[in-house]
Amino acid sequence: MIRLKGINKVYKRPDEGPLQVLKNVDLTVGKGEYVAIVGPSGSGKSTLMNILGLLDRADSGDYEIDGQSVAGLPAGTLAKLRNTKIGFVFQQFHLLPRTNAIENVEIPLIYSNADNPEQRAIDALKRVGLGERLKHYPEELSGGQQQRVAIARALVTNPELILADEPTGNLDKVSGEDLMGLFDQLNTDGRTIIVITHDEKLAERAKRVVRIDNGQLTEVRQSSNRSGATQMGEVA
Amino acid sequence: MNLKLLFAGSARMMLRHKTRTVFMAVGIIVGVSALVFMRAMGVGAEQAMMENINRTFSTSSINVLAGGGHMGPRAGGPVTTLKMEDFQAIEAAVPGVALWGVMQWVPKQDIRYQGITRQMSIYGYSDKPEAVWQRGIIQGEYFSAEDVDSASRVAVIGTNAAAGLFGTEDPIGKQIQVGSVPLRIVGVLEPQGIDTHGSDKDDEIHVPITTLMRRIMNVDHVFGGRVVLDNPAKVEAAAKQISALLRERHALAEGEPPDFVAITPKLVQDIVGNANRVLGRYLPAAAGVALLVAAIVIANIMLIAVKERVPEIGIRKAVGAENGQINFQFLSETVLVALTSGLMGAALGIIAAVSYGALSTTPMVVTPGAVLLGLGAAALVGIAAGVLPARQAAMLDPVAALR
Repeated sequence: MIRLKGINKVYKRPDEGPLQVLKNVDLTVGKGEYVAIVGPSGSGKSTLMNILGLLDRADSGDYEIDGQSVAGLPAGTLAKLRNTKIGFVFQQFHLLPRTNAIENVEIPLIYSNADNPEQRAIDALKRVGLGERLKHYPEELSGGQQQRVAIARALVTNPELILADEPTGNLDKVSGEDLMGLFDQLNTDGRTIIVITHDEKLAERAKRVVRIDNGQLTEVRQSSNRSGATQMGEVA
Repeated sequence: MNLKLLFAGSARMMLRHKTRTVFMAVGIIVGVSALVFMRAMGVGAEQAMMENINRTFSTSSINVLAGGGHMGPRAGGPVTTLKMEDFQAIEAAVPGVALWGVMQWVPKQDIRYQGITRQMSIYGYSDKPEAVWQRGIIQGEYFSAEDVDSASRVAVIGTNAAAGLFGTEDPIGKQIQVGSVPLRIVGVLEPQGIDTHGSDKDDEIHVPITTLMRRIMNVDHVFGGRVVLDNPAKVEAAAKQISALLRERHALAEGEPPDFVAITPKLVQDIVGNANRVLGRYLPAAAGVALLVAAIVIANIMLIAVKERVPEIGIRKAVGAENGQINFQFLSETVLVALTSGLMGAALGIIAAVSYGALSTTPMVVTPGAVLLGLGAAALVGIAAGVLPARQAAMLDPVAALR
């Protein structure tokens, strides 16, 4: 599914010297994996997330998604890949205000040619358990419900990969547990999930944990000891 | 790209930011309604004037007047070089002349009838005046060709002049007096109202031109004449031939200004058209200023909106919007606001023009062209105002936008 090889990313800073956020990062994530990327603030997690999500480009190194190298692809092709292959979930939900749940979930479909967008949006909302809140505005929903709308938005184009950046960061404990359950469910259904988190509970739910520190990636746990977890051998 | 969803989103955005939308709309509504209203006024004035001209000046005729285009009094007295013989020569030399007539006139003469004196203008015409000058008789008859040949002491009279002299009595057969010349009324002129110079065409008398020149004015030149051609298509060529012939007959040297002017319908329409273009152009230009201000206001509001909507733009890009799609989306939002306001402005302008036309004597004519011009201007304002904000939105870095 995803293969990073020798990824480097350097930020130029006007006053101090250049800052290397990612150093020779290698990461391979197979189809159907559930990976947590953990690490302290400023470790390069978000930069890695942006590169994985095709929102940012690496300075050097190879990034292949489904066997296709993205290094030289034009911005339009990257946008298309984001639309079809990747669903984003953010810490701040990033829902459009004063826009109801269906309309929020429909947004990715504006930029695709999928037919029947409203039905797709409704189906996605039902899948995250919000079938009763279709016409609600974000302002009328709890944090947990808002994050579910965001997940429905990530699912509506039926992408293989869900990229989540601190998805429980703004949720209370109960909502956070709910969300983890939802992620487990999505993974059981065969979806690949990469989640960046501080939340140790969330990392525990993942089948594989990698740690990033000072821009360097290290494998923490290859497979979960929980029952039904993917075995090491299955990981490509 | 799903345009239906996109436009639905744009419409929602407009409705949710009502104050912003209203501010964007007002300038365009004012500008477009003013544009439609003023065009209606300009077209109405032009049509009214053209109708007036066409009524008195048929499309196949050329008016030849003494003097090089100077109407009314001029230094050195009247030009006396244009003669009836000039028109006889035109008939002989220019192909396609169906009719012609000459005229002379004298303003404000004392006309007496049984102790009543009334001042009125006397016009002298050659034969077939009804056909040449397009004015008929409603009672009695016009003077005849014999009357013109023999300088008969006969006259036809306008309705107001007749009422002033004879009251309710039948004017036919009445004897009036101009100076020492007695004239017998043989007909009453078809009423024509006030002409473009402001004189009452119903307060005048018409006599055979020979009677006027020999018995009343004692001159041998004419004021002008009209040449009617058998086909409107021959007018411009005939006008050139007439000019050449008259220059030769009047022995004008090369470069010397003419002592006559040949006025064709096209020339009149050009002159009137020019006068109306002032009305038709400068007033809409004022509306254009309103639209320019609207464009600046809209561009500013949209630039602020783009700043406010940075996270939204980031999200749209993250879920797969290409730069071009974001650009199109923001541009379509401004164009949507502009076109909607343009439609409202056009409707308002039409209502205002029609009501004003109904409530006043000003002729107002709303043309589809004016409405299309208004809508086109609105769309143009939308595009012009939207380009920069849309570009800014499209160029946003999604990583920075989502931070």
